[in-house]
Amino acid sequence: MKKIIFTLILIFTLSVSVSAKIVDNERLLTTSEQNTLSSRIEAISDAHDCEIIIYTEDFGQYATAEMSARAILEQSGTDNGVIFYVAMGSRDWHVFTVGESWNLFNSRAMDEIENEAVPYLSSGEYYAAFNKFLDIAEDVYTFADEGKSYSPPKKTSELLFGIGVAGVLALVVAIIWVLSLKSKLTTVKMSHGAGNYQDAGSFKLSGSNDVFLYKNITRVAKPKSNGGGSFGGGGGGSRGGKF
Amino acid sequence: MGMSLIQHKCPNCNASVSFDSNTQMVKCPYCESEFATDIFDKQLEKSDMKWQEGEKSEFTESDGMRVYTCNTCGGEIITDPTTAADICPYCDSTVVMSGNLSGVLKPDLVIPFKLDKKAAVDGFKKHLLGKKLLPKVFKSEVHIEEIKGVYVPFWLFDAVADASAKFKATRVRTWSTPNHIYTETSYYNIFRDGSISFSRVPVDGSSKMADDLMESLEPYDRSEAVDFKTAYLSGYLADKYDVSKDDCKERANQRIEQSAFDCLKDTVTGYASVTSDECSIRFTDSAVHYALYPVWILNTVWKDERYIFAMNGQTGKFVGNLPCDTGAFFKWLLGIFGIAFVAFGAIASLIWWLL
Repeated sequence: MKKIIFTLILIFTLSVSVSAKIVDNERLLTTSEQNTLSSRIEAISDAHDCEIIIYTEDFGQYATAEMSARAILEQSGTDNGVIFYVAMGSRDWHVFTVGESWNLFNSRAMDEIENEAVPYLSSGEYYAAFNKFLDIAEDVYTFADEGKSYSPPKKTSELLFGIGVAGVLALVVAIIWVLSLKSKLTTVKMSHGAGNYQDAGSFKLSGSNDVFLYKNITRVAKPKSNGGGSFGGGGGGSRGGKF
Repeated sequence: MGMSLIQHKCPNCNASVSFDSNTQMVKCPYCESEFATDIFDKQLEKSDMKWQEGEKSEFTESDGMRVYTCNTCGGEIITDPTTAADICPYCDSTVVMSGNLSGVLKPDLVIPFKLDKKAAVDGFKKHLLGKKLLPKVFKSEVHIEEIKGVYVPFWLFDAVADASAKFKATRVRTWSTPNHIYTETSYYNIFRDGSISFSRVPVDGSSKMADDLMESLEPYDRSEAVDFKTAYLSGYLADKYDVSKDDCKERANQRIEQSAFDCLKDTVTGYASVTSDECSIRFTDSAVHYALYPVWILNTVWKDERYIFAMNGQTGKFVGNLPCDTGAFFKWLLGIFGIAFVAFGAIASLIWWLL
């Protein structure tokens, strides 16, 4: 009897650990959302031979979110994967990678996660945040399969911003140009000084004195980069911050 | 003060002569003889009796104007009291109102005209070239032939300016450590003393000539100024001053002070910023001269607005504000904007595509 109970417990634990791609201790996701995300993770993992984990909890077991994320990923036993860790109590997020994923999740991928997925956490749209994270992770692994480094998708908003800047610059250039044409119509103005009537060589400097009064020293702290991964080779591999 | 008319006559054929800016000689348009300017001074000395002073010349004053009788044709010339030379409207002779030039009013110096009417007309046409915003009809509607050569009265100021100036200046040094950026700003008081000499700083002595227009024509080459002789005025209009030298001193002081200050400020070097604090100027060895400078003037009215153009009769510098075609202004603005927008937009799209 004890053997049967022990075996059942072991099977249950293993099944939990094997299927724990999403550990939502903070209940940020509904069951349906969890199932959808879980299916996506499974599909990506199978297609690219990698491990993806989404983990939420109140406060981490370790001093920093990075250490907590790393520990969880190492506990999963994978040798190639990524974890998106969220600690709701301290409002920390962290993305940590291991194995080949360390190089694949470059600084551009981390920038994309920070700029596109993390803002959803700030606005409470947790499903959207994790879904976006999976979109980026899928793109990273797809690019890797094609032998290319990850490059974020081109955004129309960036193009429109660029065209807007071009419009403003064009307007400034046009105004300056036309005003310079207009200034050629005006040739009448009072003279500045009488420099043309100064006798050549007549200037004599008879006195010159430069007196030091006092000095001021100001000190400004250099801005620190926010959330840069301490192990990030070239800015990738590990990234986190507050949301 | 007795007023008289002087009309220089050709020693050969007795026709009225005029000063030729090309040859810098007095020329007879009829027999084409040329004479040096001082010959007429010698003529005056010898032929005293031929001057019509007081007895045969008449003038009356009416409503602030003066009336002169032309010695050649007897016609009456009405002009304002400051005119020193004019053209007789009946026989086109040049008349010099010597009363407006003699005694204390006589100019010390004159810069003779070096450029003739043709050069003035060419200068005006060149002034209109390349002005993209000038209304196209303006050139055809301006009567260029009405351009006139006028000797404008100027007061010329000489002075040695002893100047003292005080400035505030700063020097800035920056350095950084791993965590901080340091900026050290040092403050200084700067004192400078010096002297500069100025010769013949001109201020126009005619209220009829706009000061900014006359100053725009500068500089004049003062080395070409010669002692005044009435012969130089032949063929041109001339005015005497109606703004006294005392009234002109203020402007001369301003200009000399500005230049003296600039000279001292140029000696303050090696600082990140320099601001002026105080400046004082004292003049020594000052002198004032009265001179006539050559100017070609064109007055015109276009679309109910008055425009005045002037050319330096010595150097050929042409000035005068021109009207702006508003339609052309906006067409150019739109056109340049369109081209620049296409260019910058293409660059922005290329950068977006490549990144």
